[in-house]
Amino acid sequence: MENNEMKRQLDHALKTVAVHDDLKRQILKACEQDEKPCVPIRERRRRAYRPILIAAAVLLSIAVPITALGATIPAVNDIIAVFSEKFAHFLMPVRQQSKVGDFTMTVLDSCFSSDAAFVTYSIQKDGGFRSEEEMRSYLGGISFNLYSDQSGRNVSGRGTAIELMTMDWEAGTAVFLCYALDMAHPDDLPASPIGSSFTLKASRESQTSTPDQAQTDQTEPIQPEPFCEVSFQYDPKSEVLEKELDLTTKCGVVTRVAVMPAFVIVRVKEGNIPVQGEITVQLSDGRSIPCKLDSGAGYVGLYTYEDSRSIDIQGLETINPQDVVSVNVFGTTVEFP
Amino acid sequence: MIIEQELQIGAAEMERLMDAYGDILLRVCYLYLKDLQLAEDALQETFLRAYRGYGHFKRESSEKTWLTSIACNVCKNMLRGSMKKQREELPLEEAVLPGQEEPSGDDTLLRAIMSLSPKHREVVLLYYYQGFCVREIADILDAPVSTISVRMKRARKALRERLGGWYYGE
Repeated sequence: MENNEMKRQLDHALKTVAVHDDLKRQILKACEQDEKPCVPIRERRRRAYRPILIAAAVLLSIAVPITALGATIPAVNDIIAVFSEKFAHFLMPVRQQSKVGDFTMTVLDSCFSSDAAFVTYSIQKDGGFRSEEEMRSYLGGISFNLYSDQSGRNVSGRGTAIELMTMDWEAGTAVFLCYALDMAHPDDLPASPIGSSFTLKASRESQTSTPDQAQTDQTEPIQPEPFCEVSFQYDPKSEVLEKELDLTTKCGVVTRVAVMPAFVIVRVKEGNIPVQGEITVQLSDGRSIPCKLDSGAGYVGLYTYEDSRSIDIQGLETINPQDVVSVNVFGTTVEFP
Repeated sequence: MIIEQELQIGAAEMERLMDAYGDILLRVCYLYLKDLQLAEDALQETFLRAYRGYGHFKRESSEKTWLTSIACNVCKNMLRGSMKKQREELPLEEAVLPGQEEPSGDDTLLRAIMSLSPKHREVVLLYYYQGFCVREIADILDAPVSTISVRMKRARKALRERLGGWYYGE
């Protein structure tokens, strides 16, 4: 694309952004009077945020009487989380601004099967970092956990792995993938995860405790300081393909195969996982995608589509599970649906 | 008396400057801030600063370079301020243009540019949209030419990745 073409495209896209007469008059008047320009704009901004302020007032008016009746309501932020996803998302920047300081955490994508969870999220620091080393050092002190809002249980506590996928220290942005295997529990996930909601919490080890304090407080372990959390709901769009089996293979009895946008999960009753390779996904367009072992947790194996992780975060959307016609598991073909 | 005369000249000049550069500066502010109201705020502050400082403008650079430099600084100050937390994380889908709730044309390029990091976004805008050369951008951003060159290189690479075969320029 030539430079002129790029400018033309931008001009076209931005054609509605122009100095209108009112703005021109307002600026000229401000110049003539040499007044601070933010007065009228503050007024505009105040008007824009009025619905949010009203919503917050309503929330408080509900929260205060309930609290007076004895119910435990830790904070207005928690109340916000029980509202619809869209509403919570809308209010999220306000909530994070008050709780997170320089950091913003955003859930980018999530995917759940009956016994596994995958969540990608970004964490961003205002102003970025001075160097990659500084960013790595800082991120190294943060832990991330995924909680089921149904049970309050830390579902990522079992078989969890967290990977740093992309990092831009200048922009202060890092994208992580958290996957939790073997999370099945009646209280964590109902029969269908649709409607389930989760909270992703980031914590940082307390910097305030001294070694002396740590010794005297041995009976009470130091709790990490939660500094960022995001609530979100299972997204029905991220459907998985899942099949229960009782399939004897050379690597053991396979009891479940789940195909997800970025992974294949194989669960065996007997045998040894990890097993390297030997998983292939056949798509309806004729393509055959080999998978490589990414991680194994006991009798659950996580297989990644070959090369998909090198396509940055977009790799998570490499395969639409609905396009899968069969999966070859350790030499035996399992057909879908 | 002399001061009053200078101000009067400045006010007249201001209207000319606004007619000549208002739209493009507003668009640059919008692309920085991703919010039209904030962009208008920034434009107003830009022209107010220009009005106050016009007497000190030595014409060592063009008017366009001078005004763009002011606008960039104003936007950066605003991003450092309390509004940043709300604006920087604004999803691109919410950065809808006025009267354009459904994009009228292909806005792939606009979205690709707006998804760049702030430092990469500003050099792309100044180079491709404002038409400044690398040396002028270095003056505007008060940074070494080598730094701007590196940012341009990285920004092009990022754009190329986002746009795929659609982008093939330098």
